[in-house]
Amino acid sequence: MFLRMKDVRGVTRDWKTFSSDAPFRVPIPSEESVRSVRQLPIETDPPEHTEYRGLIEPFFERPRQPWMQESIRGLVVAMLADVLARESVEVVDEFSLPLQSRALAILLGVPASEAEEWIGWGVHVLKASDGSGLSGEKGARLDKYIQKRLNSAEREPGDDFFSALVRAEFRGRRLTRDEMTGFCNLAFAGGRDTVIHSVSSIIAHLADDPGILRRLRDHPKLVMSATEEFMRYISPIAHLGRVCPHGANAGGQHVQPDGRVSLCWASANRDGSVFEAPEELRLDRKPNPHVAFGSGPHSCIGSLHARVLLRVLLEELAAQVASIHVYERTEHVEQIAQFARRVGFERLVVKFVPRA
Amino acid sequence: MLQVTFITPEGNQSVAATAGDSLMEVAVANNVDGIGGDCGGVCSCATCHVRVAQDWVERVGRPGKDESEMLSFYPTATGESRLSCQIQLSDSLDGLVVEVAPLD
Repeated sequence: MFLRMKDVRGVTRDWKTFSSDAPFRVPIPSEESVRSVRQLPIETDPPEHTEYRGLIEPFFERPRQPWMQESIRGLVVAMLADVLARESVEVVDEFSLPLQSRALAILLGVPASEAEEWIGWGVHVLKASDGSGLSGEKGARLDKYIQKRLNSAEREPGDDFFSALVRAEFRGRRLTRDEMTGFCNLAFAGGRDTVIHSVSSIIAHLADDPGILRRLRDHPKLVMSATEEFMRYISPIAHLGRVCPHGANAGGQHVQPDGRVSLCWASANRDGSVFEAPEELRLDRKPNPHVAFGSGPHSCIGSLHARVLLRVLLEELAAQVASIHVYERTEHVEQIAQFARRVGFERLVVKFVPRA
Repeated sequence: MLQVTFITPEGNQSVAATAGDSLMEVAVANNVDGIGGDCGGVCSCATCHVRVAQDWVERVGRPGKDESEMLSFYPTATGESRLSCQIQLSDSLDGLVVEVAPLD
């Protein structure tokens, strides 16, 4: 495990030694039991990676467009109006999950009605909801959905993500169905539990420290650095893997050929040689060179979308919510070998109190 | 008000700026191609890289510790490299010229 910021950032740029060309083995634990295709572009190295990523990058740049930001704001405003009118709300299933799915529908350019089907898949698209880990059944359901959407995009191409894949060309040829599936699989798995846990955690923080909402209201520019600091502090993805085809020396540890190492973003984000008081949430932290979205050529392609969503959410919460009261909370605990890590919630029941 | 010029592959873009803004904020507000500014200016994403024109390097100043460390990961960074989110504009930088040069 690489734990320090400098090492983690360095390793992401040394793909000859620490490769992502390893289907199913970039996520930890490995996912061979829940999918049959290589996720793209993440499970490749440059130069293939650069070309694969370039095919979908225009889609993930769209959150820079004002119309798309307004569309996300419209969604957040409507969902807040709903929860503000209620006596209690279970944040994970009734707010964070539907918000993530509906925002993804905007990003992928598909009708909002699609999101209602995705909501039924639960917080993690490949893991069982009872906490028993990766679920082959859920993997198969996702694959079935992806094939259905790709079939209709082939019959009747539109302006959506699936149609863009059908039209895309890689090195002078069309994408194979497995390649298209690999792109889709990542689009659904990559930004799901991560965004959901981040939204729920932010809401819990705002409930526990009511001063934050007031500060965001009084200093609107704070939303930018606050979003980054929440991401550093929450670090929704603990770590990702790299495979060493020829073996490696990893900080004095010998890695066997084909052995795997972990890049621990969560640990690097608490590196005391980089961050002053790393255990403190400081909304005005600047500079804040965190790696919550990874680093290097594989850095999160959905980061712009996530950032826009979280910034708009913080702005609208500050504008409309006076305080948040927690009725009930059960933290989500992730087990990594012998380590337990809190990230997000299983259940978070709150009341959003509107501003008078 | 002051003026700054971005040299991009599409040509030179001179825009008006306000003292106190960061150079990245000015670039993003004017849709300067090649400046992302994704992290909003906290020195986390390195999508706002510029090369400061020789005559301006001294006046703009050198990168701080976190910025230097970030730049050190990019072989394409040079002695004139800066992350524009870390350049705070002031009247003394009126006329500043930088080249937009994405790192990756």
